[in-house]
Amino acid sequence: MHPRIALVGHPNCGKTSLFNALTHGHQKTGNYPGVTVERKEGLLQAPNGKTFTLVDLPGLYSLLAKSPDEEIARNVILGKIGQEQPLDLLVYVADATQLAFNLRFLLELKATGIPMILALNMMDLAQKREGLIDLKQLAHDLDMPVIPIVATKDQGINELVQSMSDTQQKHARPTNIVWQKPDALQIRQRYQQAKIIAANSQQRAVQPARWTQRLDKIILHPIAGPIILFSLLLLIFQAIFSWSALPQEWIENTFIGIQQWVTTTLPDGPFTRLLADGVIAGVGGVVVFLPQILLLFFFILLLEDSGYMARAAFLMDRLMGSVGLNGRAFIPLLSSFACAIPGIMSARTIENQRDRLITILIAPLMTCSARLPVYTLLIGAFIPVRTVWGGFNQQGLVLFSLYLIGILGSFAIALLLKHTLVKGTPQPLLLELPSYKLPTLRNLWHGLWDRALVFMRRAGTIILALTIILWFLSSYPGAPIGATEPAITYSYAGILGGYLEPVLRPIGFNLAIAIALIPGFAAREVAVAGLATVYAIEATEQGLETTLSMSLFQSWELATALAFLAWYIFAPQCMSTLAVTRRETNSWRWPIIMFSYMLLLAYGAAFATYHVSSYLLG
Amino acid sequence: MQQREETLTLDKLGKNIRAVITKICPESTINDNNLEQRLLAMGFIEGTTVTIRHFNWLGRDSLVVEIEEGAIIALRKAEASVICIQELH
Repeated sequence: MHPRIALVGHPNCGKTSLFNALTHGHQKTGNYPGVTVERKEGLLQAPNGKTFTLVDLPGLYSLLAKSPDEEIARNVILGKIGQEQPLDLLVYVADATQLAFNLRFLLELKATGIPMILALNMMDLAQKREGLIDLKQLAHDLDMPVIPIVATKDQGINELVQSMSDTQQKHARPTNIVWQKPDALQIRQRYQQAKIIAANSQQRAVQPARWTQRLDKIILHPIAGPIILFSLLLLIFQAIFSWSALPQEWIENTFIGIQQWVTTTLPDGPFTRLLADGVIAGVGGVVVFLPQILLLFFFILLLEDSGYMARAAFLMDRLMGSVGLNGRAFIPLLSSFACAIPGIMSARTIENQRDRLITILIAPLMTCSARLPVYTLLIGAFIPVRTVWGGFNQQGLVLFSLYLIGILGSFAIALLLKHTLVKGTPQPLLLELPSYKLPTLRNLWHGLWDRALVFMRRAGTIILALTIILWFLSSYPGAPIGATEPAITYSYAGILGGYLEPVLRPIGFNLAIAIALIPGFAAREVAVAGLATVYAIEATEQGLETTLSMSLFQSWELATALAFLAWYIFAPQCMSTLAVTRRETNSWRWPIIMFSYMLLLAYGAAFATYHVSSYLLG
Repeated sequence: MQQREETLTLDKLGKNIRAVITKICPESTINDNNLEQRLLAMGFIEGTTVTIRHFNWLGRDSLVVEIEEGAIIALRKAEASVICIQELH
């Protein structure tokens, strides 16, 4: 086993940049046993050939753990994670522009007795803002090596690695780590001590960041602030849809090409059909979301890296507070527009159990990208392209209102939960607004790569397996000789759908929908693949999309299509979301509640939509 | 009674007025037994100078405080109300 070194520090101190600089992307993200707090580890090679395991911990201000994220970080530091090897060395990453503030937590950690190094990050900014630091004095006062670095520019990295290797060699792994929850008096004393040490090595404190102050005057302005925020959100969604159109078309065409190549090259038979209609069509139907998911994460990473995200949380705090949520819930909910899974997982940063539960429970109501293929398919088939109200595309308006209904529904549910199942007092906000920074390409790249891998793994495993099962269910047993109905009606899916259909008839759903919903309960996008399979097996291939939307237009009433859309806003059709909720809340209670309330809402919404629109449309 | 009138808390401070923290009052209405410690850990400590820079656009329920030689922190009125201050002139 390699010696283990952890990076600790405040949020926004540049830990992730340093981690990327040290590991050059040789990292793996996984989970801690039993809980799903993300574990980020990488390998680090010292010049003398020695290898270390580097652990990146969530940002902390102290070891007073409140949120699950913080608790894990504390347990790693204190060596309390089950079978995990305890730490050999801590590298404390500090923002050099806020020396005294950062030193307090360092002193708290130093008291544990674990060998430490101080990596003083953002030295360039500190120098620019007249905050010269006497490093020798600081190292003397703290009794530990102090290495100046600029993580984003790779400055001081070699010196840091050298120092890590030296310090680790000099000190044995601590055998008994002592830590007691500090009381208020101890925190005060350490703060005073930190101030004295900082003043001792720094003649004058760093000047406040003028740029940040100036920008905040605009970005947090009572009128300009919300306008900028909502324009940014609008721009992001606009970009996600228009920029991803082209790559999505390429991916679609590629998969159709492969499908055709397979069907023409290989001899016809069950295996070829499984490969073409099951595997290739299924995986293609998922990979097609990759451009959208990556674009959304690109923007989220950009907003996080630049320092804007915390401002957005502040701007949204009052609004979200009115339905009992915390401003911090903004980030998880925004992520849920790409996929509820990373959204639910990022709710870990919310300390208060009640706020966290509400955020998790309403996250799947944000329109995730898996709903988009359903929406675009049905809107394309049933809503005519028309310009209304001076310049608005009618199809776009329908899509927008589907998003809006989801958001409003989530607010209503949040309010309801606040007064019923999830009672408790609201948590404090206490959110640091970091200085604005230019995002670095390397951080963006690593962040996106991580997300892409997670998504592709999902596409490669769960969804692939489901599409194969679906293909089997809808292909076997084959139609009897002389059958009058389409072959699918005689298959297992047809039989199961037949059982389901009477339940769904009051909301206007037909047999094809009932069949597609069976695999659709596993993952939303599979329902489209399901419909495609159902109709593709009947019709001959010639441009998947057009064929499918034409078949739908011919065989569905408008009221059915609208009811199906309404159903899709709320329906709990994603096993992964439920599984993640189970893991994150550590009980079956919440996923069951989530499933039931969403199912009820979906049925009710579809029922109302079907009957109202049938009445209105005659 | 006279003493109470003199005690000003951070939530009552005006925008862009410097004030020094005199006390973090542990008696709070917020059900968070660590609030005092957490405020201290974020840099709200006696003797530090603070300035309110921004209020939320929907009202004074959340605010942005600049801590001198420290961080810029967004917090809610409830948390600000346990921070006792004295205006600096």
